[in-house]
Amino acid sequence: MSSRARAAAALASLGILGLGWGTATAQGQVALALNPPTTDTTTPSDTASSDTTASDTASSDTASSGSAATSGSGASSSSGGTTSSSSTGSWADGTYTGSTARHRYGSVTVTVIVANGTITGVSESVVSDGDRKSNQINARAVPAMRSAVLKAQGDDVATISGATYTTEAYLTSLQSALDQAAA
Amino acid sequence: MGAPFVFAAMGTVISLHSARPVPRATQDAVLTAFATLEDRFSLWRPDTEAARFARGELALPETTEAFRQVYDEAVTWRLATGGAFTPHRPDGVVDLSGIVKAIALRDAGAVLRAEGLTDWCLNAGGDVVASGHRASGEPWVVGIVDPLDRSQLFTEFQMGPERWAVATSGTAERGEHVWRLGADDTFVQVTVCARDIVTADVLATAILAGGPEALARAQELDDIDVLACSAGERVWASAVFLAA
Repeated sequence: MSSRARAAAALASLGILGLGWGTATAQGQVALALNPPTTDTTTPSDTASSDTTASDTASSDTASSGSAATSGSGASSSSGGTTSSSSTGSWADGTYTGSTARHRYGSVTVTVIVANGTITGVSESVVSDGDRKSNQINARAVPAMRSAVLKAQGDDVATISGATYTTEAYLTSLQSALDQAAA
Repeated sequence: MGAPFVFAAMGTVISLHSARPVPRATQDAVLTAFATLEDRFSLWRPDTEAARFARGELALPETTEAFRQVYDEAVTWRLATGGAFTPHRPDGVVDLSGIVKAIALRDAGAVLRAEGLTDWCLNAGGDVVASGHRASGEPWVVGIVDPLDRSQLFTEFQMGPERWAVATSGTAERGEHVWRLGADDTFVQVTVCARDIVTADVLATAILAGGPEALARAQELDDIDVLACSAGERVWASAVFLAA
């Protein structure tokens, strides 16, 4: 897919999300606020499962009509322990996750990735109740910076995945080190 | 955790970690799962069925049922991925090694389950399939190599329901058996986490070869998590890999 087509697809899906939010807002069930950005110094374990975290912080009875992705200083009402970003100018680098919005067809969570003050990626996780397809959408890989990827904890790693090593290269591989440590 | 069972096959090294000791007979059965496929599909040995087929000494109808099953599976994946994964080398030779190692892992997993082992992690040259938990009760965690520094881990992935397989394809791969589709060189390393190892392995290869277009297609095809790395600062990552 060309980058233009990709951008169009992203915009189209945002449009759909916008509709979802609109619908839900009309029902007075939406709470949208941006969580503070997580930075490299955040421990990965705090942020292990975005799915679970998102649904945990969802609050369907707190009403707010903020429009999350576009407001840097708006969306001041918080829900379920989430707070809005206080940045007023350009965005601070990090990954911003909106609180989960529930609507009649399921729930929506938006994640915005900011690098060098600009938005480099937007991902939406749409969970429609009882729909297997929704898991696939939820797992979609989105463009991001290396720094946004969770770091390996290291000590609880049991095995290593990487490009195939030869029998000889195994001897100097991380997997070899792990096997010897366990032996 | 006891000592892992480590052996060489298919030009690489296989490591089996298990929460419980693996009986000798079960170790042998795992070895056999790899050896059986290697005996039929190795192109490094002139006497195998695959080598004879590659040289044109055997036509497809003359091959064994076991050979055609793997060939069919590879061709089915070629169609599903729009050619991004293919068993056909640019020089016309049919090379099934891109899928055979994953099938061996799948077979070995079936052997372990049949022997009543429920908690293990099996790694063949960087492709991993697991079941259950570690002896400590913790999940199996797979470290993913940093493509920019292979002596370091980039991130990690936790095995669990619907995600028992992790495969990584990279341009550092042995024998360069990933043939790029067109000239897309967006990715230098692609990791796919899926329900089963053949899906993970094939789609990792397809995405590495076919770039972002193949990535989009692969995610239409199946429920997978992906971490695709460029040679620079950009990555394409499923939510599970991102700080949220």
